[in-house]
Parts: sequence; structure tokens; C-alpha cells
Amino acid sequence: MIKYIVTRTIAMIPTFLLLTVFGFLLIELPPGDYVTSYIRAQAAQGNTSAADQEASMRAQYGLDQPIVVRYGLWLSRFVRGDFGDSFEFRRPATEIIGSRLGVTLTISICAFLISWGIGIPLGIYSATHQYSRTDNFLTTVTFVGLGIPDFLLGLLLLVTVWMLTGEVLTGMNSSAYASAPWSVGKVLDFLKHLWIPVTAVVITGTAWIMRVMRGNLLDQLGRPYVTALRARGLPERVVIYKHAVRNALHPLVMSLGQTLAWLISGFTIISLVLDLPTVQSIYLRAMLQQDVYLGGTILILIGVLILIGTLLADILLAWLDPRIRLY
Amino acid sequence: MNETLTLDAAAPIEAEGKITVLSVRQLMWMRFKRNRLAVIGAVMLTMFYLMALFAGFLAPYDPRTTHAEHPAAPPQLPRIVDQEGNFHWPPFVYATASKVDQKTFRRSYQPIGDTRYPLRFFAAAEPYRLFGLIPTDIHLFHVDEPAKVFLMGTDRNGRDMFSRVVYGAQVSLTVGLLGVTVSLIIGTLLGIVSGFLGGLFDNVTQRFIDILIVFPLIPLWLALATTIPPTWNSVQRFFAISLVLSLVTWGALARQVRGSVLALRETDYVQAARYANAGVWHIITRHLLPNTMSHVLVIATLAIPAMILGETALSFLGLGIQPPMTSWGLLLNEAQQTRVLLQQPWLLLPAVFVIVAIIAFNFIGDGIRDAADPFSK
Amino acid sequence: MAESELLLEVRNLKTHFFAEEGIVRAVDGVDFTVARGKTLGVLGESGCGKSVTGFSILRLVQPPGRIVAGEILYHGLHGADNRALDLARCSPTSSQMQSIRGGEIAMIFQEARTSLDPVYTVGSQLIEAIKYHQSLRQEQAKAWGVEMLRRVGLPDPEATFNKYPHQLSGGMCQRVMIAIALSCQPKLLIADEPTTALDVTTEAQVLRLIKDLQEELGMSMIFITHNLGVVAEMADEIVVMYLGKVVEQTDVKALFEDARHPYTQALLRSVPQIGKKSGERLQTVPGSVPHPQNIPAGCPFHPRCPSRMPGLCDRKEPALLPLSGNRLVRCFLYDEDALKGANVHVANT
Ligand SMILES: Nc1ncnc2c1ncn2[C@@H]1O[C@H](COP(=O)(O)OP(=O)(O)OP(=O)(O)O)[C@@H](O)[C@H]1O
Ligand SMILES: [Mg+2]
Repeated sequence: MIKYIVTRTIAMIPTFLLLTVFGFLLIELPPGDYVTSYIRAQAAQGNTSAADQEASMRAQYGLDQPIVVRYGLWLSRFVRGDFGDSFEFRRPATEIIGSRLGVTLTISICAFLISWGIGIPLGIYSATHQYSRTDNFLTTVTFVGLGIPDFLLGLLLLVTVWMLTGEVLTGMNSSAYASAPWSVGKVLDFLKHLWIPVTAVVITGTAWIMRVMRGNLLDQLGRPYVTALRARGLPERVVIYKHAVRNALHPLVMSLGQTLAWLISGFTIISLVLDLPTVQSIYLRAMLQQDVYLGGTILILIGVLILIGTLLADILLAWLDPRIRLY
Repeated sequence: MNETLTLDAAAPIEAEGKITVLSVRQLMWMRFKRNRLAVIGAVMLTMFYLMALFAGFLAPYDPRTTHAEHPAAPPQLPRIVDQEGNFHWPPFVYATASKVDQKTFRRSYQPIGDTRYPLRFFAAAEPYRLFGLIPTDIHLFHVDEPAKVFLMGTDRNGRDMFSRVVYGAQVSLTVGLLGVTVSLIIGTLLGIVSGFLGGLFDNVTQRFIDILIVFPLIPLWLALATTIPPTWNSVQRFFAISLVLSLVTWGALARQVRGSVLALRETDYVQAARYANAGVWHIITRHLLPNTMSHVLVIATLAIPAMILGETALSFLGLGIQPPMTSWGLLLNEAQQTRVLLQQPWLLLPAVFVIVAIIAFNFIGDGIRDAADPFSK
Repeated sequence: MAESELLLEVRNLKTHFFAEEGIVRAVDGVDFTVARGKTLGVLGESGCGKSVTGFSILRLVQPPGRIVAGEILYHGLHGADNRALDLARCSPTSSQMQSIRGGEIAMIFQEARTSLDPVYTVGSQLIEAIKYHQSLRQEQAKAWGVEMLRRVGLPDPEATFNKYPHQLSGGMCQRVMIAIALSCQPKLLIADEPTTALDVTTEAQVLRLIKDLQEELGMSMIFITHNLGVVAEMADEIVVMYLGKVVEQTDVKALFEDARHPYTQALLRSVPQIGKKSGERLQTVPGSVPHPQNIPAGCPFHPRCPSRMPGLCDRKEPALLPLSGNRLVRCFLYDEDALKGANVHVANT
């Protein structure tokens, strides 16, 4: 087992390098660089003197070096744990990401737990009551849930709340609590804002998980071993929960690998729309501003989480499914 | 005891009974037709595509025309009953004018006078080119000035939302198709090449696809969309966006095709070798593509809704389609600011079209998948 | 046949599937009886409803399938009044039905490996069944399970006990299935083509095993197959099915010597026989089984029948007629009344 993990980790290194090249290129590919967009932004505010600083700013950020050199420098620092500074905030990228991780994970973990917690039982119910009225209803809801982009749901909730209460619940805290230290009042205020993004994400997420679970379980229920178990006189409850559901969960375990990365990359657009202080919204901003190190760090962080997630999912699955052996 | 003849070895029945041998395609079509949701999806999409095709005819106004007197007008449905309660046919509208509240700065519209302006069907109005070719000025419906017919209201510049949605369909509904076509081509080619070549090329491609398949779409799309030069015009941008959308989805297709290539090579090695004399092209077109077509079709159809969503998201963020082109996502872009949205909730109406299109594609994708599944009954 | 010798009576069983595209009459009038300690062979082409018959007896038919008519009388329970239990009338999810499944009537299947849950060891699946039917403690159940594995001839039963299905060969899986089925000493075993997926040598071993265990435990068996050779080996009585109906029931000897139904006769001609002239060609049953949704009117076999009587066979459905020597045939050729009434000429055979 340990040998397997070590080999897999070593095998991940080329993939990781591929990922960094890819990430770096993506960030470098847009025409212009941070200085160009900085000067453009300054000019838009009527500040033309910024144009004079162009060359010195480039030198300051090392943007005057050839691309390969910049990649090499970036990677060598990357490996040492130095992910570079954000041009815009003039602070280490890691620090900016770290400061937003709390809110991001709160929303995503809540959404994850709730949507799996609701989606799996509903999927099981749907599959075991195929074509019943409830199943048809749930299936229809699923289709609608998958059809509505979550950011529109977020907007819709926001507008609804505004119409009902007159409050605009963007961000994660009301202005009164924005810079206040944590207190009971602030926590309550936080929760009041939290439910909007969580609900929006949960609806789409639940629809997806329900559909997957229903499909998997139906597939399992049609297999010969289920008939054989029934033929042995086992109660239906045992046949379904101990056997069929157990087997139907395996494909979901595989998707857990992606979930790790999803935690910091899902609901990107909701974050923008609802003005949430999350990693996603800063990623979006960095991409638009060509804030290379910040955007690149996040992109690569997502990639790394995918690699780790896949590895963890493989290990978990091997532990659950005796047919898979790790060597 | 040790004879193994079984009863299954029976000759096919001759003209007896009504049994005909159905081709796989006919069988799939039969199963597809039986799937109610899939048929509903197909009907809805047909209507949507007709709408896109006849956009100029359906839209009462040019989507770029600004009705300066009517900014941010709410939707106004034609009425058949007038203020006194009398019934009229054809439906009519009243002319309206806006007033800005001095305190709240909110704009509201009131009818001016009680002159009825009936809808004129197949009326001549602003000229346009049908299918982008035939110059004409016939619209499905129109009303005489000074009255206006804004089925879905107007934006803050006074552009008719309904006309913009109808024209937006042209972009929103084709961007996905174009994207899927591109990813079909890339996916099939790469799948075939890496399946046949194997070795290092196959290895690197597969590792790359490994990441690509599981990488979250939106961040990747965002990153790719920022690489489009801002100097490009809106048509160039449209194609660039389709390319961006497609780049992210060819992985699954390539995987499927590669799998089929490998299966074909393995099933009967000798036979494959014999076919090799007949030419690789022959194997691909005669054996490989027909075998893998249904799976590819399913993957492709199920990818379209994701692409529509992608276009909507990118345009919504201002990274996608640019004016003067219009798309549903771009229309929603105006609804992005909460404040605007709170005052003009009808700006969210284009979302309904996005949602219906996605659901319809999902219905169809599911229908095709069930129909293509050889193990379903 | 005396009442007390009967274990199971199936009367006019009909199981239909109400699929979207129409009703599939998978089983459409099946009658047979199974005597205690004896084996009934069920013979028929693929798709004629053999498996559905087996599933119906155990009430395993899932929606959209349903038993629409008939009786399944089980005589194995020692009730106070010794009355038979009509399984067709039990609720499929009732605890009574659950205790009958596996406890009184067990079933083994064509594909042994796919009939085992891949994620549990064969031992745990074996114990699971035992514990539901007998109140045994874990160690007792385990000891009994290992004993069962030994009895079905698995080498090193202790080791096999902890193996997963994918670690065993097809033949070993079928032995495990047999062990599970027999672990609760059922009175009736339904074997649904248990050897179709096995190679010839393994097939012979498994058949031998089933036969030995049957004698040892004195149980009855319904042996479903489409292989005439196998049925000759295993069965005492045989029913021949065609399109969901029993067309002939007779004992094994009579079937091979003197088959009555034209379908049975055609089946027999399609099998090589010792003693036949070597020059004679093997024949197949002409035509193929129509889809159960498209069952022809009249006698369902008439389009393929060499002795069909136009005007009779394509109009009316023959009933199952008793003939001498305890046999039953569903054919107008043996129905004097129908022949007289219809006044038809017999097409030459
Ligand atoms: N769930 C179902 N829905 C609809 N039709 C079904 C279903 N299960 C079985 N059938 C139909 O019932 C008929 C009889 O099936 P069955 O499995 O009993 O055949 P069989 O005699 O066991 O054949 P084989 O020798 O291939 O096992 C088939 O034509 C099949 O199409
Ligand atoms: Mg069968």
C-alpha cells in the first residue's frame, strides 16, 4: 500500500510539470501583461503619468525577461514554496488565497455535505420507486435543477429576499460587521448571508448527485446478483442497502476525487455575482487583470488538488472494492 | 450427454408474421421516439432553432435599435380587453410614456390617451435580411408609432429585449453546436491517432486527458477566454469562444474513440492485420466509426448543454460574445448588477431561454443514451 | 399420482410484462407438477419463458412484470390442516415469502459469477443466507458454511470461504452458488440453466454434483435447460415449453421414444442420435421463435408446424389434453372432437 502511494506520487511529477507549463502558458498567453492592464486602468482614471513608469515596472516585476526564463524562475521558486506576489495587492499570493480559504471552504463544504446528504437518499428513493409519481416528480426537478445555472439561482434568491425583506444580502457580512471582530452577532449575520450561495449551489449539486445515484442504483438493481440475493430470502432492505447501494456508491467515490478541487473552484460565478470574498472571485479578478502569479497559483492549486483527489479516491476505492488491487 | 447442440440454432423466419429485421439505427430511432421527454426536448429545440433561423421575421424591431423614449420599459403584453372592458380583435396596445418619480428616481410607464394601436400581422417595418440573405421588411407582428410592442420590456438603452433574445438565439444556440463539432473533430482524430500509434504519444495524450477530463470547466474556460485578443471583432470572437468551449471537452471523446480503436485491434488481431492491407482509412470508416458512433453521439449531445452554459457564463462575465453581436449570456450581463436587477427584473427573462434550451438538450441527450444502450430493453 | 407425493403444482400460470411498447406474455398458461424427490425438466428454446416461470414461483418477477392468473400450490409446509400454500397469492415482500425463498425453495442461476455480489466474500454471502433462515450464532453459521463449501467439492474450503467471487473460476462460483442454495436444506431446487456458462468437463462435474446432492438431501428439483442431452441426464419428468405455454408433459423415456407434439418431434430431430443412419441429415426446427409480443393467433406453433391444419390451427387454441400414460399434449392432432368438428384434412407430414 505504502509502496503504491509512493509510486503513484512519483508518477504524478511529470503530470504536475505538464500542469505547471500549461498553467503558466495560459497566464502568459493573453496579449499584454499586468503592466499593460495596470496602465490602461490608470489611464481610464485620468492618470497618464503611469505610462512613464512602464519600463521600470516591467523590470521590477521581472516581466522584461524571456518567457522561458520567467517560467524557470517561477517554477524554481514554486518548488521552494514561494508562489510569488500578487501584482495588484503586493502581497504573497499564498497569503491572499489563505485569507479567503475560510469563507470558501465554509460555503463549499456546507454545500457539499448538504447536497450529498439530500441527493443520495433521494436518488435511492427514486431508483427503488422507479416510474412512481414521486420518481417522475424528482426526475423532472432534477432536469430543471441541472438546467438552471447556479449563478442565476443565486441572483434569483437575492432578488426574492430583497423583495420580501428589503435587504440586499451580497457579500458575507453586512457593512456593520465587516471589520468588526467575531462575535455572536457577527456569526448570525454571517449565517444570514451564507445560506444564499449555499442554497444556490446545493440545488444544482443535489440534482446532479441524485441523477447519478439513481442511474447507478438502477443499474445495480438490474444485475443478476440482486435477483439471486432476493432468491435467497434476504429482506428487501438488506438487498438494497447492504448490497445494491454499496455497489452503486463506487462511481461516486471516484467523483470524490474531483470534489477536492471543486471545493475551491466550484460556484466561481456565484462568487462574483454575490460579491463573495472567496478564492474563486479573486481568481476571476486575477485572470481579468493578468495578475500572473496569483491567477497561476490558484490554477495550479486546483490542478494539484485534482491530482491529490484522484489519488485519494483511488486508494479509497481500492479499500472499498475488493476487485481493485493496488500494487 | 456430451453433445452440445442446443435449440438456439434455428434458421431465420421467412416472411411469416410481421417480423422485420430492424437496423440498429431504426431500432435506436424507435426507442428514442418512445421516450416522451426526449421527444418533448426535440420539439422544443426545433422551435428554438426555427426562432433563430427566422429571427428577423419574428422580432418586431432590430435588436440594435434604441427607443430613446422608452428606456427600461417593463414588459407589455398586447391586450384584447380595453379599459372599458370591451373585447377587441386583433390584440392591441396603448401608447405609453414614462415618468420619473422625483423622490425615488424610479421610472414608471403610463398609457397616454385611450387610442388603441392594434397589432398588425405580416406588417412591413424595419428592413432586414432573412437568413442573412434575402432583403425584406415583413415582420410577424408590429404596431404603428408612437405605440411600441415590447413583449419582454427594454433594457436601459431602450432596446427591445424580445428582439434581442430572438437574435441572441442565433449565437447562443450555434456556439454549442460549433464547439461540439470542433471537439468531435479533435477528439476523433486524436483518439484514432493515439489508438493506432500507441507508445509515447499515446501516453502523453492520455496523461493530458486525465487532467483535462477532471479539471473544473469554468476556471479553465475563464483562463482560455482571457487569451482572446481584445482587438478581435465580434465575429472573430464568436469563433474563438466556440474554440475555447470545445478545447475543454474533446478529452472524453478522444478517450471513447481510442478505446474503440484498441478494442478493434484486440478483438481479432488476425482480422485487423488483414484489414490493414485494405487500408487504415477503410478500417476507420467501415468498422471503427460505425461502432463507436452511438457513444460519441451521446457524449457530444450531453456536452452541448455544458457548452451553452459555458457561453452564458463567459458572456455574462463579459469575457464571451461582444456587442454588436448578442447572445443570451450577454443579455444577462446587464442583469449582473443587483441594483439594476432589482429595478428591472425582466432583464432576467433571457435566463428562461437558456434554461429551457439546456433542459431540452439534456432530455435529448438522455433519450439518445437510453436508445443507444444495447442492454436496455 | 397420490396427493401426498406432490410438492409443487403449477396451474395455468400466466406472467405478463406490461412494457410501454405492449404486453409481453412471457408465461401464458403453464401447468406442471413436481413430485417429491423427483426432477422435472423444463425444456424450451431461448425466450420461451423458462426463467420467468422459475422467477414466478419464487415471486421474483419485478415490475412491469406481474402474475396475472394461475396458482402455484406448494405442498411442502406442514400446516395444521396440511393444506397447500398458493404462492401466487402471497405478497412478494411478505415475511412468509421471504422464509420460503432460500428456506423451502432455492434457486441457482445461469451466470454464477454475476449472481454473486462482487464486493463481499463468498463466505459472508453464504453466512448471510444461513443466518436469515436458521437461528445460528456467527461461529456455528461459519462452521456450517465451511462444511457446505466442502460438500460441494471445493478444494480448501476455509480459504475459499474468504475469497471474493472474482478470485474464483466460473465452475467454482457455481459450486459456491449451489452451496448457498442448499445451505438451508430446501425441499425444492430450481436450477435455471446452471451449466450453460461452463465448459463441457466442468459442466459434467457440476451436473454430477447436483444429482448427488439431490439424492443425499432427498429434495425435488426443477431443472431448466435448452439442452436435450442435459435434460435426458437429469430429469424424471419433462415439460416442453413453447412461447410461454407448456406444449407437452411426459416422463423422460416416453419423450425420447415417442414424442407427440410436433414441436417436440422437431426438437428431437435436431439432435444427433446414436443408431441413426449416418447419412441422415440433422434438421433444425424450421423458422424461429416469434417475439412474445407478436404471438400468432391460434396455436402459437402453427406457422412453423409441419402438420398444421389450416382452418383449425390458425383459428383456435388447443387445450392441454391428457393422453394415456400420464402425459399431456397441447395439439389438435390428438383432439378427436376438434378434428371431427372442424372437418379438416391433415397436411401431409
Ligand atoms: N423485465 C422484462 N420486461 C419485459 N419482457 C421480459 C422481461 N423479462 C423477460 N421478458 C420476456 O419474457 C420472455 C421470456 O424470457 P425468459 O427469460 O423466461 O426466457 P428463457 O426461456 O429463460 O430464455 P433463455 O433460454 O434465453 O434463458 C422473453 O421474450 C423476454 O423478452
Ligand atoms: Mg433463462
